[in-house]
Amino acid sequence: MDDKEFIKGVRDCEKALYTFLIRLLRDKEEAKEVMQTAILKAWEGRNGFKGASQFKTWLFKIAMNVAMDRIREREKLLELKEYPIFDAVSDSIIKREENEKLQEALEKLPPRQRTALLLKVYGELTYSEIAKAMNLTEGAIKAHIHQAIKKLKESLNKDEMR
Amino acid sequence: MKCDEVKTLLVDLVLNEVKLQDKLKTWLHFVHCKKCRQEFSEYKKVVKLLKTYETEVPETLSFLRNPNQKRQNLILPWKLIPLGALSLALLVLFYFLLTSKDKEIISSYFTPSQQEMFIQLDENTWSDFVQNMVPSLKELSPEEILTLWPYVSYFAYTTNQEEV
Repeated sequence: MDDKEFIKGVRDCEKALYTFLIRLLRDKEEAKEVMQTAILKAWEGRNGFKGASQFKTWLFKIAMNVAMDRIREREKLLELKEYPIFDAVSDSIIKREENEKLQEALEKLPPRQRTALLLKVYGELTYSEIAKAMNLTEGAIKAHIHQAIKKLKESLNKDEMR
Repeated sequence: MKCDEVKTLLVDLVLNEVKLQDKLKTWLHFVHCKKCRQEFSEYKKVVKLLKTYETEVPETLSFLRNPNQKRQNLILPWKLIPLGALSLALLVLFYFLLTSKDKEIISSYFTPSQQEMFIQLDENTWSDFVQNMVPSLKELSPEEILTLWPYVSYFAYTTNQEEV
């Protein structure tokens, strides 16, 4: 892969990747650092990218692995610090409230369900691409995503009923 | 298709992971099943809400950005002329094709009770149907387009009726 292709590939999916990382890590600064590390890792390994998968899938997989390492480190340190809910970009208060509710519901999801769902929604990867990135079967990914969306739907409905 | 079967497809339908044939069957089920339609719109809301959260990539991260990017991305107005002309031509073509399908064709495809059911559908459901089906047209074979055509023409027919 040449340098121009690499740069174009990153530019095409940087917004989706950054959004995915913020949702996954729940911290803007950490998302920035992880994104930088992931892009650098990808840059260093760009000659090893043979195009067997899409560039986007490959980059998301690298970013996901870096993010997972961070999450593991965080858990090891047993930080009890409350991670700030992102300062939303939404214009309206209602949207912000809905986003916060959704983020809370997302945080309650088991890590695999959350990661698979975020890869699907922000990365727009197919079930089979997510399965490859997460080293799981397509059926397992489908089940994780179904359960995740059902839980989010239930939690939003619960809030509406209150 | 029965409700139980449709329910297993709802999440995949929202995430566009459903085969075209199943997509068609599910939409036909929605025509008469309000409960499934309601559940589908709830799933759709969740995904839409997730997608509304978009973040701008901070400048500090844009080390790959090209300083001349804005100039490169600028679309010159004259470049839009052929695109505009093509869109207009397509619009005119579709108008004539759609409006040329009259009541006789529709009644040959649907029973009176089915027609009654379609009329009862609200605008949002139709708009969902068209939005979901039209982008998929490119995936269809000519035979499949023919099976879909009556629905589209019926949509055009009811729209025209309302205008009159």
